[in-house]
Amino acid sequence: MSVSSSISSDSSATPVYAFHPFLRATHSFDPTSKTSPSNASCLVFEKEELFLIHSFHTSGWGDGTSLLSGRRGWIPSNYCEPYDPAPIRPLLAAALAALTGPQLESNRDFQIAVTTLVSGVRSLLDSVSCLTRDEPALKSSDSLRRSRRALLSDVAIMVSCVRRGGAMTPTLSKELHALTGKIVMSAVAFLTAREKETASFPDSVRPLVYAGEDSGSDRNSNSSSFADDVFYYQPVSALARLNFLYDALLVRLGSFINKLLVHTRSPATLLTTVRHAVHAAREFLAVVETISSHASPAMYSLEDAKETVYRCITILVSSARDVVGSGNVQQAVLVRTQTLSISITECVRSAGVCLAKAKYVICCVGDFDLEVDRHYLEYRLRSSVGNDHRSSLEKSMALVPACADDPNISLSVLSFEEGKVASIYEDDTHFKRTPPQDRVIYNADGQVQGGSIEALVKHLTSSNATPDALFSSSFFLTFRLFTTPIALAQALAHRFSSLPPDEPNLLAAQLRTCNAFKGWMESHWQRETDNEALPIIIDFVNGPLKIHLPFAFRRLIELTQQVVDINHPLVPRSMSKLGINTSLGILLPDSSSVPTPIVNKAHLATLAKYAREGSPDPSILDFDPLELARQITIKESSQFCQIIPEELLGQEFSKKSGKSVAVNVKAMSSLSTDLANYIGETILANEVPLKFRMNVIRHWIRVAEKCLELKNYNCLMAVTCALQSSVIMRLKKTWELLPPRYHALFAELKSIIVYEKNYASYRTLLRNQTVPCIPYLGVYLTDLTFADEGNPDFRVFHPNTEDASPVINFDKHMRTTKIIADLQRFQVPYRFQGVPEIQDWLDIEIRRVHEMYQKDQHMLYRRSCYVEPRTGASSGKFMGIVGDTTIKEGVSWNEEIKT
Amino acid sequence: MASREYNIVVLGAGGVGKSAVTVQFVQGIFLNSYDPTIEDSYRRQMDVDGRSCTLEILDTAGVEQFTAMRELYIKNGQGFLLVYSVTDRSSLQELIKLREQVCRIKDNQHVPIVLVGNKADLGHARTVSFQEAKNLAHNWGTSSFYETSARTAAHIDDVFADIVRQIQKRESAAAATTEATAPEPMTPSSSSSGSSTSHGRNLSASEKQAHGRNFSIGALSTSDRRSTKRSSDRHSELPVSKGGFEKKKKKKSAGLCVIL
Repeated sequence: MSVSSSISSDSSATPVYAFHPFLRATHSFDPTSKTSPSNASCLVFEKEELFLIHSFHTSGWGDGTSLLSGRRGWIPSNYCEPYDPAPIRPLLAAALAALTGPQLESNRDFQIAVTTLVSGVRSLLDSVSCLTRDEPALKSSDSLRRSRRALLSDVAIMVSCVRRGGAMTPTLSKELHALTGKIVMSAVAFLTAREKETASFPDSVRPLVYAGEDSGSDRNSNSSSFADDVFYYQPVSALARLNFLYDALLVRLGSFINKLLVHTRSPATLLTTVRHAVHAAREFLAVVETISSHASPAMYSLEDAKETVYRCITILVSSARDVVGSGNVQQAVLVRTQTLSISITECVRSAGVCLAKAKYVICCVGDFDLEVDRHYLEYRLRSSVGNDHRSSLEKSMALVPACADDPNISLSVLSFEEGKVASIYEDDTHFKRTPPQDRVIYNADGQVQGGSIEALVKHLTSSNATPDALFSSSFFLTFRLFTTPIALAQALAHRFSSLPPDEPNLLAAQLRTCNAFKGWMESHWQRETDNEALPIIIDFVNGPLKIHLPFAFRRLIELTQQVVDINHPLVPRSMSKLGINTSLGILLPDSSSVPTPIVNKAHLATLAKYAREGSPDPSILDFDPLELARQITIKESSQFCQIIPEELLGQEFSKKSGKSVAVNVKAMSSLSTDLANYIGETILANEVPLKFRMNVIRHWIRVAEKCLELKNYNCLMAVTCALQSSVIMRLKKTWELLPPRYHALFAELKSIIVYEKNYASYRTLLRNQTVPCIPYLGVYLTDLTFADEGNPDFRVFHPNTEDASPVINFDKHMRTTKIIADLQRFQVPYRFQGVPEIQDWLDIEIRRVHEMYQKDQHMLYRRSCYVEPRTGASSGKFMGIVGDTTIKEGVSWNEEIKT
Repeated sequence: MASREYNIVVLGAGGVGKSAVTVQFVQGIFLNSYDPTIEDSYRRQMDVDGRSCTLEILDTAGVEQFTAMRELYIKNGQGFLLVYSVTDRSSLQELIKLREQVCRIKDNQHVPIVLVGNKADLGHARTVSFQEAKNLAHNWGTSSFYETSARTAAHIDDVFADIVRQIQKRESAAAATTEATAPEPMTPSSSSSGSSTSHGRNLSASEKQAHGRNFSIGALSTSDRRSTKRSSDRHSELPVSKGGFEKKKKKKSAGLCVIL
């Protein structure tokens, strides 16, 4: 469908010169080639570039900003045409709001803007039947898949940007504008690809339905009756249900904002959307009420929060009713948009507060299953596809405003979220008070810094402090460093038994102690060390627990059996794995978009022959740099993803092999070292002309460039280090032959990871990376070593008081856990297809070089000296110190090989 | 005056507490918490002989296995602390190989190096004697040797001051060598004129201070003892032109270094 014909009927009724905010170039334009007096302020553009127009001059020149480059200048309108195809309209409207709206003042504004954009993208994908990756249209077209992926990855960047949180700064605002432009451009590219696709295969795909505004076929709102939208679902745990409904409510409120801003203003549509929102709110409040009934009266603030949500929703409904009730809806919406937006914002805010408080209650009393006698409605959230109720985009959308404390969420975002929760409770001293006998040291932010094992256990199971997910993950991950499993089991059991009967939240405290046992056994059990604590736990479960909490007894006794039988975490370690970044991981392209390996059959045959017969040696130059980078990345990624937290504790990785549990860390370090040696070996491998040697160096620079593109920083580091090693750098004549372009490229690659200022620039770069990505492992290992070495195991309770008895320095373990959590954030595999021949060949070569290096560490140095002999009087002297074998200048190549 | 930057590389086998030496130096006293992920984690400003210096410590802690990375550090380092544990003999053996690597990469046998025996407070578990390590340092030629304890902070600052002095010494020697290669042949008398004089004087002044400090801490470096002897001998003969004379000697040896 052509662009002009897609302008919907109502816009054709308006005058021809109607103001269209977006123009698309129909021809390229270069003002330098024209005799224009003011060409300095004119934009240069290519065909199909998209502009946001701020105003038109009567001469026909428009003042616009290019969405591609972000530059602003004059644009000749006769080179352009209005761009407004129906499928992309919601997105354009959202972009318009984001780009021209008032300055965003708070992070919440930002979140709303992003939510609107994301829903615009979703609406685009939905209306061209590409919402899920299983759509036939996507399966049949590579280009469409690619452009969809590009679009989604732009969205992911923006979502990650908003998730970073922090204050609204002009820089962030600018970043949002740039990203918005990028998303729109990607969306346009996607839509263009889709249009081409439809044109070329008119019968093979479903016809596009471009929903007209008032045609009544708006799939988003009123095509499905309400009953279609929900179905019954088996009872779930209160926490899961709460999270789910909160997401659902936000999605619905977001879609309401979307409707308001995106001129879908038919009364029916608006009413339906409001009804959906109200329904979600009702379910949400219902579950909050259930949770509230489990809470002690001291937690009345949850009731208040619930009332607030209820009030906000009521106001929203009455505002909406006013709008729809008035004769001219279009007019009324314009007038009342402001009021409606405020109501919605209030709803979102109050729901967030309510969520946080409800979660607090859950953490105090322990998660529980909802009753069976009630039907729990599940929302399909419009994108009903098979079993996957929530498509990835919706998830990302729901995650945008998820700002309350969620113990299941990755640790990497916890600091941000804790901040939020803290601010919610700021006025509530009840939550901040700690009993004086709790000998726990807090820092200014309320984080635990130290305490005796009893005090830490008390904090872990405390019923009247905000539960701290980071604390409990750190605790279970690291407790073996400062206590024994037996002592922990005893401390927990003692805690349970010694709770005073008049404790205000006795039940809550008991439940949390019980949950601590449960969490330990479910996700953090280490058979080798922890089994010795089992008798104590079994005694406890059969004794005090059975008496006081009979309903928790069964699960715990089950667990004591399971931990013996099964040697892996019983509950998927979403918590103990600390930081799998699901929010971005889900936006990864699926298996259908795995890139096809760049190989040819002849080359594969050579590799296979080499593997069988050991000759002829395949040349490294025959590999495509990108494919080589991918295959190495597959190897490194699989090694990296296998690293478990226990390997990273207590400098385990610095212990000698055999005595260390850090097998995966060691394997990965060793792979990097072998790879670096292998690179040196390929460069110094044979007696070859200088030119050839230079070609090999150039080839590795290209591989490093591809590693950077793939975000494999570990491999990038290995390649750049290898090329900078003294044996290679000293080959002056060879480097002289390298074209300047590659010298520049190499300099750029070297500058990505520099140790200066403690890797400051690399750390900044990594902070904003999305998965898949392999960070340079060394920085983590150094950080962990120093966190361990630089922080003492014990600290005194109060440095300046007489009370100087040492307690466990828990801050040390928190630091370690945070570093591990950051590493785990990247433990997401790449989706590349392994080529068995290349993988085998890599294995063979790496093993060969490894063994060679074990035997003789100075081989490369000798070869290097042979290839380009040492100059002047300095030669000879240093040859003597190279290894056990003294080498004379001028020995032949073959002799050297033998040594 | 802007303070000069020095890149100091700390080398040694894993588990000898070499990172504790770094932390102790950077932090001064042992604090309760140390954040290794911030920019200033490995930087410290210190005064050496009245001159302000900024030391950036490159520590291979945790990445000892990744040898390619170590090379990169060595390549960019100006001075090297070779750390072993007095309770672990194999950690001293390891240093012999590491020093070879440093000299090879630097293409020079006279790289500023300080040999450091850590964990000196664990006297009861000692397996490497003071004398033995001192002999090793002696064999290495100009290297200094200290026994430290990261726990008690003993001699930690001395180690870093020593390495800075060695770097400064080497640099002024190198500067002198450049002059030596000038067409005009150098004689003892000509060397005492012009800018080189000031170089020489600075140098001897700093050396004197260095000796004083080494004496006070009791761990006398082998090189310093020798040079102390020499300079005191000379002091009686040539009190006025001492700076210039020493300078000339230095030039010769430094020149040899570079050509060798």
